[in-house]
Amino acid sequence: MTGGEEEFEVRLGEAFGQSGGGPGPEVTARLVDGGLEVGRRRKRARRRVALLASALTAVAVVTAGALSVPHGIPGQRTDALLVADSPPPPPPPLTSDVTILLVGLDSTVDGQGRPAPAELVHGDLHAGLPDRDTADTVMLVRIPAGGGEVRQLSLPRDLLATDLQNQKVPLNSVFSTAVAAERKRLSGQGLSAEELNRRAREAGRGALYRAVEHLTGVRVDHYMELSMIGFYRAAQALGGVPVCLNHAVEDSWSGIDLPAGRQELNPAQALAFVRQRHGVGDGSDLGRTVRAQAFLAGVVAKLRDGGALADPAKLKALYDALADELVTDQGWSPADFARQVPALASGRGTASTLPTTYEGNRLRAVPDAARQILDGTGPSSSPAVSSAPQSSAPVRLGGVPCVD
Amino acid sequence: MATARRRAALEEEFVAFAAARSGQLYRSAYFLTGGDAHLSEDLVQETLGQMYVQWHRLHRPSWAGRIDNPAGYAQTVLVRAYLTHQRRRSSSERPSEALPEVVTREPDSDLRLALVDALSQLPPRDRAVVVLRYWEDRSVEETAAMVKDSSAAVRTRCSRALAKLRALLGAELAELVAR
Repeated sequence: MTGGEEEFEVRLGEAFGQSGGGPGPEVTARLVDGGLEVGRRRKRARRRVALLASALTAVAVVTAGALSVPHGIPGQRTDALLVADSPPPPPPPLTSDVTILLVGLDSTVDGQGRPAPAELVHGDLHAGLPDRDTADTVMLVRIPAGGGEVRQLSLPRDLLATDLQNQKVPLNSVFSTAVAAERKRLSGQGLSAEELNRRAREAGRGALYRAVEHLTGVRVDHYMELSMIGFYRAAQALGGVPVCLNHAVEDSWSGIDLPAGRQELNPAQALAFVRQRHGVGDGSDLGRTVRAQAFLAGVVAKLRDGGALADPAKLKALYDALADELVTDQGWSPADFARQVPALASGRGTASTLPTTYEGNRLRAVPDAARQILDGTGPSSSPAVSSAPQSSAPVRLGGVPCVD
Repeated sequence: MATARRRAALEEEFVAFAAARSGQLYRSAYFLTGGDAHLSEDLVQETLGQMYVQWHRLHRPSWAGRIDNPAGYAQTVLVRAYLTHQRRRSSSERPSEALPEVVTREPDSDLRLALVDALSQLPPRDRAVVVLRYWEDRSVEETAAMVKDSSAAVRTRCSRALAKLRALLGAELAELVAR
């Protein structure tokens, strides 16, 4: 019998060999493209737990980077924090500029997909409506390798962008559309609700990332995302963010009710401040963009002047606030990043808004403006094109600018 | 932009690898799944996706977990992705609406059809062992490491699977295999 078995083994090997031709070029191309897409999506949008140092960097970056590091982050504290991450030796200094995509989701779900407590949702978050998962704050931040100015660029959420189906949609719905599509695609595959949510959100991140690169022509290196609840908790941890209002404001949509002048905002007020649309400027999103930038300037001022960085308890709270909330791409360690960028110390920066033109009631990006603004070669969001693009003046970071 | 250049170089390298290896991976997946073309594509894309994420490990120093043989590594990833898929899948049927029309079925030879048909009648793990041993020419030890099983268990599976294949295919194979 042994002889027969061996003969069969040999024949089976030959049968495999003769059946082994590869698929056609069409299939191969699809496999390569598909693999590349799967890989990019995974690399980008996998959650990382952010440690204190990373949270600090995040806030630094979220605040468009005008953070004063030397007297802000003493080395020994950073090192102590990094022990938990058991990091490799310090990474070499940054050799090229880094562009980060920052996304604020209008969602009451935290970075881990857990819903916020109901009393917060109906109280301070003033959310009421069910989550729409719109990406209402989308900005790019360019951190130069060799020091110099950090440049922040807000992308208006009504900007026309291209989604995965090549449809023109407002930028803020690219994420939610892709999430919904992926959820539909995956439903019925027996995934747990948690897994379904996670994968749908990753699809959303991938779509938004691609849309922004497509829209701006700027290569994006890293992704960072904060939900509404994450923003709230970060503001809570910061303990009052200074802003300055030209006029008193009151608006029931966002729940804002603030006097004119310089003041410190509590978390609920902070959220209302950046969300208010009705009654700000022409009621378009541009007014709100300026608010977001003013808020960022306030966070920078707070971190630098208010001593938050020198207070371990506040730092810990800041970290705790962000650890669960912040979503970053997997291949990136904000902790390492912090150590790579002593240039953040320069404390100089500008916050700009992408110049746009109207197309019907939609906004269209002025071609190539994003790249020029981030490179610092560009129109610096001043009106440049004949069709009267609208934009707002850049906000200087480092003080507490008064805004409408 | 050294980082950007490096990333572009890595990506180019990865694409070249994917283009060169996807055929072999696809055929392995096709045998592993017992001839499910759609699932095979999914598995290969999943495998390539994981390779993409891990790609920087090709350029690490050897003490830091360098991947020395990406082709072999990819085959292991594929087999494990398949086994994970088998474990996870709650029912043995795939929802039919999930089959998009873009999957072009290639013409299969009689031999390949007979082979795949017989393979599909084996339990998944047994099938994986047969594919690794006789399609990829892996040793018992290599196979055991890839499916995370003991060598003895691989031998047992293998002889059981061979007996079944022989009963299913024995006579047919003698005719179909070109000499």
